[in-house]
Amino acid sequence: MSIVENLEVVRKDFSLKVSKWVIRDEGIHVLSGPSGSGKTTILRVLMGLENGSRFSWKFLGENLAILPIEKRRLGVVFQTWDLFPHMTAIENIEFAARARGLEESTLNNRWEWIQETLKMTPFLNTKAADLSGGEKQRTALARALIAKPRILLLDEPFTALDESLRDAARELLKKLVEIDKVPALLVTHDSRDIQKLANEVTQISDIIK
Amino acid sequence: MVKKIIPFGICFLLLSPCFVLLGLTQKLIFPKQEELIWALSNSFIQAFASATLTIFLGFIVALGHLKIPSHRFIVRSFFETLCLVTQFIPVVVSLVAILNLIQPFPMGVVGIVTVHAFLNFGLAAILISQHMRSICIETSDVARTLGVSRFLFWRKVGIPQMKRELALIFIYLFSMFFTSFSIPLVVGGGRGTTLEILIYEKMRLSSDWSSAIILAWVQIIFIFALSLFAFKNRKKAVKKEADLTWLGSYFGAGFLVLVMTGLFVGYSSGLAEGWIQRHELSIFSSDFIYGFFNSLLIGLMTYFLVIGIFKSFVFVGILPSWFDRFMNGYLAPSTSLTCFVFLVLTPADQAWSYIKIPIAFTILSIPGLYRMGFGERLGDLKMQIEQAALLGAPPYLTFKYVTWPQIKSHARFLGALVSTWACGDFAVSRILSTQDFTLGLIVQTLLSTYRMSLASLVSVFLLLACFICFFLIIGWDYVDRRKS
Repeated sequence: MSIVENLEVVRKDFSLKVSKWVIRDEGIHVLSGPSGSGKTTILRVLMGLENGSRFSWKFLGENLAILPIEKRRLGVVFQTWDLFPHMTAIENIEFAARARGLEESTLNNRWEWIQETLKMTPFLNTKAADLSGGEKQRTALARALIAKPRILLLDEPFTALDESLRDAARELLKKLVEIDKVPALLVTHDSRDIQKLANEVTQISDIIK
Repeated sequence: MVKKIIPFGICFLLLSPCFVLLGLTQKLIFPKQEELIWALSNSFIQAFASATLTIFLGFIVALGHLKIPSHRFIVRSFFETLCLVTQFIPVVVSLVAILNLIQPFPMGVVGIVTVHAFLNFGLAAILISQHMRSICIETSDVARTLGVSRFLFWRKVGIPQMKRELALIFIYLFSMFFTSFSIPLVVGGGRGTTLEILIYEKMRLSSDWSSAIILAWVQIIFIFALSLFAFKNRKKAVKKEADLTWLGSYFGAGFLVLVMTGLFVGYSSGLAEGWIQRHELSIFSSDFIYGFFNSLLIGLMTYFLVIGIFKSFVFVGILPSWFDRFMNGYLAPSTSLTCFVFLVLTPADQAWSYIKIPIAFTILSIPGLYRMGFGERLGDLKMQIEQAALLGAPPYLTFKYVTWPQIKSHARFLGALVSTWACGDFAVSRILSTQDFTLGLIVQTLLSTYRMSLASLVSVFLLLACFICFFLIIGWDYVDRRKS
């Protein structure tokens, strides 16, 4: 279990406060709620991209909230995937490995099964800007997972995919989380995501004041 | 830590002329009131008239730009190149063309206004046409279905909708013309002394630095007050295209072609006459060679300084919002003031010119270059920088693999642009060096002694130096991109 406490965001037009929130450390934990309710804001505060005044996020005894962004070791997949457009799919993943200082042997082992599971071989050398939606998503997942993150944070990762691709993408995510045993926090407002993926669901209205 | 210090450092560098000025502000003697009012009113009148005429001509040419359908890419690119050609070539070359075309040339305020408008209406046309395309897109179709005529559309819909944008362009042009130095220096004559020229005269000719400081402060305060109105809440241009050709006019395109042909004819006729008198130049041949290489060297050194500063911006990545506001709102200090500071702080030795001129040029150009899309492009990379940080990448890795590879071509293009300006400069070098140090200075000396034809001939070599500078950089960028 990881525990988020006293997370508070105050802006001119918006404010929220989470006194205590327990996040699973295995399987997929879904944070759900209507658009504009603050789900993404909470996720961005956890990532360190936005300030949440004096909150704590205890993960296996360590307070991630006090660490700088790059030291939190989170795997992140955004709605728009945010790949580096000038790099190929493989270069995006290599960059992530280099950023975390992954040793070659570790990298090779992980890369082998990730590549196999995500079936990436056909588009590895394609520039990110030229990848299809599904390919972009798989690349973003691979990039997030390559360095074995503490937790995988996913911000509506299926929204930008065609309806026909979403089910396969959900299956893939579920499989990855199970095999890699990496906990995932999924932010979504889609009830089908909850049905197919959630091991536990938190409604945002239950945790914010 | 370094990332936090860099923005402050750059701010300090850009504001350093003002700080030095503050340090020198002791025991000041106020200049004669009539002199100050006269120069201030000249500056104001010429800047106001120049900006008004430039916007008027720019609007007409923008209508010509609008007439070209979006799928006629080559024609449109040619039109835009024609509009911006005077921004690329050295001012002194444009001056040679104009002075050859209009004879006798009206020196003074009228002359300054004419040259300002001739050199900048193309730029204004491009800015106005961008706003036309992004703003009028919403109302043009409905106006068309209502059977509104083109004239009525602009009078009742287009111009009222664009009032704010036109006002911003006006303020931008006004500030640029108000602090213009090189053009009043050549065509101002005795009757067109502006504040900037008065500062120069006080420092350089009568060594009255005390008055120069007061005048510089007046100018800084005036421009700062103006910058409070400018660059606020600028809208991003809408990128979608629509058929706005019915709102355009061929007259605007014809006007642009006419003016550019006139300038070309003026320049060519000067050149032809200069060719006949070419034997007169042979006695100065060693000066030309010296000036040619000095111009090149100054251009390239300015490039390296500008690229160094750009790299530091990119290394910082997500620039603090106060810094972005500063860069967007701060107009560079006056040319004379900046040069004046270097004059005070460094020895008068000629060798120092190789350092002084590029640094002064860098300080003068960085805010403008930042506004020419560099800041915006860096801002567009924000999410990628965040993503890289989430992946655990330290700043140097993000710089090396993520940000710099995506922005380097644009940075180098802007660097190439400023290096051609520096290579073709005569204004900064006039203050900071003592002889005919660069080719630009030689051309200006020939112009000011009314040897127009010879000035035309020498300006060809200046153009050549600028082209070499530009294409060396762009060529290097091309090779580097191919390699990576």
